[in-house]
Amino acid sequence: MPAVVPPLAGAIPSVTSVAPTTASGYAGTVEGPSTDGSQFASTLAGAVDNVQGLQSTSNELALQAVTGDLTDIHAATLASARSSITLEMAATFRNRGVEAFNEIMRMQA
Amino acid sequence: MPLDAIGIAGSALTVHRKWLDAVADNLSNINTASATNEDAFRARYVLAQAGGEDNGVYVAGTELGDAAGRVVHEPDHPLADENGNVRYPDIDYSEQMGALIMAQRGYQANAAVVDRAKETYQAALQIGRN
Repeated sequence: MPAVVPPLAGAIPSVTSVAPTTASGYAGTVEGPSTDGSQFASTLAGAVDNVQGLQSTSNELALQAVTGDLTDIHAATLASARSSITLEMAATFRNRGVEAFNEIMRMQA
Repeated sequence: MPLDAIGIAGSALTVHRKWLDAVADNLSNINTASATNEDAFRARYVLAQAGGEDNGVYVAGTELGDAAGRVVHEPDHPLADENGNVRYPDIDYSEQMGALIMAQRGYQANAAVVDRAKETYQAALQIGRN
C-alpha cells in the first residue's frame, strides 16, 4: 500500500515495545515511558487545558457579541465551533483510553 | 494548527466581510454631492492578499477611487458653484452591485467550508467507534 496515514501529532503516545518474558516464564519488567499511566494522564491534562483556553476565547467573543463590541460575527461562531470540536476530540480520546483500560481489567487470569 | 481549514476559511470570511463593508460605504455615498472646489466622495476598493506562511487571505489595504468624480450642472443645489455645478462621486452602480453579489457569495462559500470541515472532523472522531 503506497499511501501512509500520517500520525496525529502528539495526540496519543505510541505504545512502546514490551520486553520479552524471561526464561523462567515470568514477565520481565515492562520498559517504556508509561509504566504508571502518567503519560496518558499528562496528555489528557494538556488537552483539557487546550479546550479550556478555546472555551474562554469563545466566551469572551460571546460577551463581545452581546455588548455590541464584536466586529466580526463569524469570529464568535468560529471560536465556538472550534472549542466544541476540540472538546469532542478530548472526550473521544478519554473514552477510548478508559475503554482500553476496562478491556484489560476484564481479562481473566 | 490541527483545525486549519476552519482558520483559513475564517480569514476569507473576514476579507469578504470587509469587502461587504466597502461596498456598503460606496453605495451609501453614491448620491453624495460635494462642492466643485472639494474632492468628490472616493470609492473604496479592498485589496486582498494571499497569506504567506499561515495560508488563507487577508486585506492588505484599501485603494481609493477618483477624487475628481463627475461634475454635474445643478444650479438649485445648495453646494453649487457660480456656474451651477456640483461634484458627484464617480461610482458605477452595476459594478458595485456585482461586487455585492460576489462578496455575499464568497462569504457564504467560506461559511459552508467551515461547516463542512467541522462535519469532517466529527466523522474522523467516529472512526473505530464500533
